[in-house]
Amino acid sequence: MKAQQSHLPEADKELIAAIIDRDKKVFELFYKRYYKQLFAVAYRYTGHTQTAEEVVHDVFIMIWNKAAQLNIQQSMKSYLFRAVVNSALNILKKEKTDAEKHNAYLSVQDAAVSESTTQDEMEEEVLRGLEEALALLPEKCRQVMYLSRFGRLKQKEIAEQMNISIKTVKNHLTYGFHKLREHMEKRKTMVRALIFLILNAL
Amino acid sequence: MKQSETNEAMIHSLIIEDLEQTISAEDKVKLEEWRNASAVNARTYSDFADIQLNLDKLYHRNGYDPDHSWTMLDQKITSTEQERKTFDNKPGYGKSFWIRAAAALFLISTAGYFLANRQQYQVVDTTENSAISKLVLPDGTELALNSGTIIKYDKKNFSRDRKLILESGEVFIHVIKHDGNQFSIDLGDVEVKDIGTSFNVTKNDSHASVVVEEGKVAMIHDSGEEVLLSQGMRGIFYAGSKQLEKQHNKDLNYKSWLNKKFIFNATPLQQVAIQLEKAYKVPLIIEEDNLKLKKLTAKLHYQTLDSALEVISASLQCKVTKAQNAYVLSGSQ
Repeated sequence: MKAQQSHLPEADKELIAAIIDRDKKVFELFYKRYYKQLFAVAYRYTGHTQTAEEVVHDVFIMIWNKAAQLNIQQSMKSYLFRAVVNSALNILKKEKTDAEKHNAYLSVQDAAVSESTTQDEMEEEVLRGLEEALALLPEKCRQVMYLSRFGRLKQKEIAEQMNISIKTVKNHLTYGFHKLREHMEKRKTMVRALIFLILNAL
Repeated sequence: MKQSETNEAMIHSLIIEDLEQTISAEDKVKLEEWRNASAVNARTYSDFADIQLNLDKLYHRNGYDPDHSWTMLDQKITSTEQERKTFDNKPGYGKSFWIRAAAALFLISTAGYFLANRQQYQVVDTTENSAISKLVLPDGTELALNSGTIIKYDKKNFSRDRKLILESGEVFIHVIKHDGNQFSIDLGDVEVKDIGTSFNVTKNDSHASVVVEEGKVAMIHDSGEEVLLSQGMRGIFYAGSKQLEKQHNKDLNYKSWLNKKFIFNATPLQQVAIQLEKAYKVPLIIEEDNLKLKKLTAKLHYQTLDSALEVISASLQCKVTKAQNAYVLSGSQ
């Protein structure tokens, strides 16, 4: 293990030592502990189940293969989320055209809002609107929202990871929620207007 | 104006803390008072709570079951390690080459030519693997090995004698065009000679079978009997009767162990389960006899068994539950 990793929490040191010793059981528990949150964050960036799964897998494969050489600044948890976000952002950069296509898809969905009738479809519509609103947030704010709501990280953990103050994390969160609310409100108004138009046309 | 914006931001921050359940008792009282002060405030709180609820719903979507996701990751790790081992075992690469070279010298000096001659064979055994192993032969021919497969080839003389020995198991082969001699597979009593192609080969105690995906293949028995197989044909050699047969391949899913693509046409669920088990390496238990006989017509192309079972569950109106290391299909949803 690298000498500069002596600052790590005891549990992280033990974890790294177990991975170096090829202890699959410990690695499996470590994986299962963070999988859902990491996947949820990766999925927000990639918008694709298989790609998000691969992003998470690649980070863990890298940790399994190179545990002895990892340069972990704060903690293994923080390292994981940083690696997943960076890896997902790199994929996005590479697949910029695809992301544009994804946005085009979202705008098409926007126009199709009146199609929904059943309870399930309405809920689907709301969730799609929420994903869309999240994607429209400014980059840093979006990252804070993703790490907080999908990564389930505490405000302090996000502040440490992104190297910003807790106050800034709070500001991003309130701004994020405010914008999501505004966006959802707009969609609701649009749906009401469409229903009104449909009913009048009958 | 600025003051009211600051107040609003502070209240929003308290709502978020409340939703995160990290709010202090004092702030909680403050927030309650604010909520009760007006209908507009109560609505703002309720909107934030709604957003949180829907974010939670998004959180639970799309991902795989952690156990299943781990199985996939474990397979990737095992497969990478296997590939690395194979790479290390090639002459000229890594420490193991020198260890092997030393071992070979020792064997020559102590056990004579026979053992040294054996040493020139590269043996790949995937008996312990749950994942598919991919391998490239010295001439560039690509192999995908199902688990439980043993192959070997003469690594020293491969450029002169492009022969692969399939001891047992299943392998999909894509032969790279080569100016040298013909690629062949030794299946014991029969030999398969390739004429530029891709094909699937299986061998077990009772029979050896070849299904041609592309190109042409000749299957030749020791007696000189020969069948020529073209695209879509299957050749079978029965070990007991020593019979060599050629037929149209009716098994649309012969390669599903590799590509996870299945076509089922009114196939009884019991048969479907056997095929899925083989491809995904996870046991499937069907609880009721009448469910075993239900027929499935579907095209499935999923990397995960969960997704495939979701489609089956919806098509046949049955329930899928996960037991320890297995999936159980039962009658009612």
